[in-house]
Amino acid sequence: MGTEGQTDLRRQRNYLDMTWWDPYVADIADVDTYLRRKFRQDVTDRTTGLSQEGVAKRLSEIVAAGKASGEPWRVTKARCFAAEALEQAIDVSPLDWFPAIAIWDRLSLPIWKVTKRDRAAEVNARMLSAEVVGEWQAGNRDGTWNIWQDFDHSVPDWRVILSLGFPGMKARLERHAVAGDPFYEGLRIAMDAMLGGIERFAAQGRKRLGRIPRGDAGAQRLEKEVACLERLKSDPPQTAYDVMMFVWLYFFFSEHLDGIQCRSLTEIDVTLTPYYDADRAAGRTTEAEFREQLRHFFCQWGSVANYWNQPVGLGGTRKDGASEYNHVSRIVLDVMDDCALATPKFLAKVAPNTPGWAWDKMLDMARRHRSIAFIGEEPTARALKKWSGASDDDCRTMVVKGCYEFALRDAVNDTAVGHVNFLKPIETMLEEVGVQSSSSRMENSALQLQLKTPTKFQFETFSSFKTEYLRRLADVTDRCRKVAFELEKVLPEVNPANCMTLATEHSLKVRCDGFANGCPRGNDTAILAVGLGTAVDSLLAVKELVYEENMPLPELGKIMAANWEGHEALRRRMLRSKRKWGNNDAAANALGAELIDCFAAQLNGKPNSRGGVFLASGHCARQYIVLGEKTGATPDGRRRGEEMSKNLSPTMGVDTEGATALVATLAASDVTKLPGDYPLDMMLHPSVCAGDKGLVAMRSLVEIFHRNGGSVIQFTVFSAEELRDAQAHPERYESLQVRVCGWNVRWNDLCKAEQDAYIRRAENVMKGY
Amino acid sequence: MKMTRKEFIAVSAAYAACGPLTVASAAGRAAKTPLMLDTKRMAIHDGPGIRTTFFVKGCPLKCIWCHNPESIDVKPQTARFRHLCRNCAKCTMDEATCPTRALKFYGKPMTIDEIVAKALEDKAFYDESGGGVTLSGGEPLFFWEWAAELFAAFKKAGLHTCLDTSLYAPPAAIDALLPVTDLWLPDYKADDDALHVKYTGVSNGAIKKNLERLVAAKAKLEVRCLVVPGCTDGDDIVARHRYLDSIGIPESSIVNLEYYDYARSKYLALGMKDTMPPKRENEGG
Repeated sequence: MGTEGQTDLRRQRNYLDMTWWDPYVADIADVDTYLRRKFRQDVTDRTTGLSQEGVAKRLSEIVAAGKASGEPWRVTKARCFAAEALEQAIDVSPLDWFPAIAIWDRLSLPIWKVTKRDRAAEVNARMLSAEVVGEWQAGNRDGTWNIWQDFDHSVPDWRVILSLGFPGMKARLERHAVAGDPFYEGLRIAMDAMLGGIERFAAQGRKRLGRIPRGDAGAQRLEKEVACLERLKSDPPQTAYDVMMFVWLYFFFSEHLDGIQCRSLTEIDVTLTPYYDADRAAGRTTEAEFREQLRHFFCQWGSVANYWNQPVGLGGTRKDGASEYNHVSRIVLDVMDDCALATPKFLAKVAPNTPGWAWDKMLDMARRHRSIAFIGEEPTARALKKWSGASDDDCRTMVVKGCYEFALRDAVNDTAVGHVNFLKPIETMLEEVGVQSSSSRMENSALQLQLKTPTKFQFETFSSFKTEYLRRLADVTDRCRKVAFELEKVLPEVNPANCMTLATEHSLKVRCDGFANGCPRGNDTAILAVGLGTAVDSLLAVKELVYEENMPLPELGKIMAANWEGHEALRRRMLRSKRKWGNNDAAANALGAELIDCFAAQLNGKPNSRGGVFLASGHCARQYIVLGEKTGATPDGRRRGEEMSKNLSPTMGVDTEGATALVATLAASDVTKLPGDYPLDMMLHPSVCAGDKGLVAMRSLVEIFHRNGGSVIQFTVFSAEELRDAQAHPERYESLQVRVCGWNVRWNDLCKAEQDAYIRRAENVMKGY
Repeated sequence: MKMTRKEFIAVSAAYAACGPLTVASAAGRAAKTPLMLDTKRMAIHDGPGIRTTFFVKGCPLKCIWCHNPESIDVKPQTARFRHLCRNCAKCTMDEATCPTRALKFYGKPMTIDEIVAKALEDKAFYDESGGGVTLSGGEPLFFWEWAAELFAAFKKAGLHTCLDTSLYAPPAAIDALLPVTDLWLPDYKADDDALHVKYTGVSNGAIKKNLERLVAAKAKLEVRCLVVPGCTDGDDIVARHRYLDSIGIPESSIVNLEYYDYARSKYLALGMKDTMPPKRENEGG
């Protein structure tokens, strides 16, 4: 690839007007480099339109004009979309099977400024009560929760829109549109802009093609790319490459231009198989060409800076019960393995019918740091069925919609809005008893008046302490749900979805926003648990110290207030206690189940404001760090501000009983209580995964986790020695990835403090063996 | 396997009367219950599938390359890892609260019921992967009557059993363990008896007889041949394979193991003389 790429680049520089690429292009050495940087810098032909900054200015003008004319916001948003699609600079490079766009920098998308920032501030001020805003912001400020208006976790019903193509989507819109209705007027503007945008790409391709000698590898790519874009203007996708191009177009239209996440690139092997087989039968492509197209396809997301990794589904079960893993799955896995990208990441559906070769290949990739997680089809379908009431067949075809989340394929416009800090109730209880004790002679002090429970803190038994904790956890969760309920009422007013609405026939029928509330099923809202493991450990520490060793509760409160200062030996003892979540300790397991029950009872099945329901979720993204920074010391030995446990995993360093105990811990709870998702991150030492025996061990862990109801399991495999070497010699570890949460990051992208934290985790891995 | 200081003192007192074990005294002590050194869950290199490996404390051999020197003495021991120790002015003398984990207590009593209960925690993993439990050490056959009782309990609980042993034991030990051991993992450390004596402190005569006894009993075997550069490499490894072949052990049941000298800090921490030969690059198995 490297040599060919360099040749391509030299040719391109000779044939094309490249002045606008300087100084960037000077250091692009080959195709791979071009693909890696494609969404890290502007690689478009500036003569074709506006830069990202130029687009941002243009959108400001459109919004101002819309306000002045008093047109509905949905129409204004659609005009913004159209300006982006039709006025941004673009290019179609012979180095790449897919187009380039000026709106490349997703960290400052122009549409986000217009919607998530400016419009949200305006709408929230106008439509939310001061009480709701006050509650929301106070909780965010003090770390009780973190709540935001979420525009993520949507996925179109790929099966349907691939069968329609863009022209079919337009025809469907026309069937449902009501004349003069601004809802449909906006959608028409957006739909026409999509088709216009595709024509622009095709025209740019034709322009480039006219200046490259026929027979050149880049010219051959361009010819096929232009032909593909021409087809997509008039027909649904016909070939495997058309499908990839369609997904590419929809994704960037929705995410970069419309500001609504598209959280899946389809169940890629299942989707591509019939097209690829037909291509091969008709002699339209070769395996080598298909592999190159796939490689370029994946590299697009390898370049896009979305820290959560772009999910893509893999495998599954056919209606006749056979596995979906096939010859295309092999190619897809080979290409992803060869690319060694942190993103996209595979969420591989596995079941008893999954063939051995697929297990071995995927587990081998996982132990070599490839971005892949394993979802148990049966347990995930069971949880989906319980909460959606869907049929077995619906559950069979569930689709990926997030880091670990799955949903029915026609019901994916879910949100992840609130993150509840499980440590806050303990922190406040101990803070209050500590203050109560130290200020007992300060009658009517201002501080005492602020206390929510300023009377007695005489929890005679651990049971009464735990009951109060659970009461507070339930209260916090309930309040979080209520705030989320109010915040989500205004989603379509903030960021009405063009692409997702056009992709969802039900939305068109019932005239509801495709993202906010227009899916036939779904429209659900996840509230996420943060710090479950550390909360369990902390409650057990209270039990041990106060109710078994007779330390006065106020004394423990003072120690927490002092951030363990002067009590280091005690802190270490608590940190090293065996009674921790993750060690398959019966008391910890039972307590964890109680916490999950309490959390779930406040959420599951309760209606949200979008026509769906709330769902309790077991993963917490980066909030274990964010909320950890806002949380005081806890009795498990954690210091103020330190991170708490991540997802359903144990607190870092305390799961000393190893991987099997960790799996058994999670298996001990009723996983259907967390229908949002139920993931397990597992760090393994390379020695446990080495050789054929390692593959057997990893597969056993996955299968037992799934058999006991767990949904997604993912591995991070490396040794502390390897990481120390990587820290000392970053140049040798360009491709090393580590798992952060539901996503991988490149090791070299982490700061030293984060790298140190990973090294500590890896050191801990050995304790269990 | 962590203990509090109080527990460790109690265990130490119970073993205070024990003198250094000798080979001659091994048979007499065999009925005794060993202290346990460690429990390794999700072990994948100690037999088939996912296993839990239990390590006993006490071994009649004195292999100069021993990578578990804490497993030689039957008595409880304290180790202080110098590279971790901060020399705190007021040492906690307690493994549980040492701030740098420099202090370690070795040797914890466990009843057979406790061991079986621990093993059963991972039964689902054994069943899924074709794994089970492995007894290692130290030398499990140093406590062969206890080991036979433990393995009988494992079998009663439906667990696959592996025995990791030097085979330096009386024939009665082999006979006692044969009915309850699914897979034997014996070492064959050196074929040349002079070398065996030099590097392990004992003759290989009894070991060879026990190997032959196992072959005669059609026991399932995986013989492990550690290749220690400069000690038991070269001609001796060839001789070991030749001998094993001569008694009917196929090549597929023999594994050469590479030597690593990664235990030096433990010798230092235990106050023992570091006898480990150097690891030489590009040598070994």
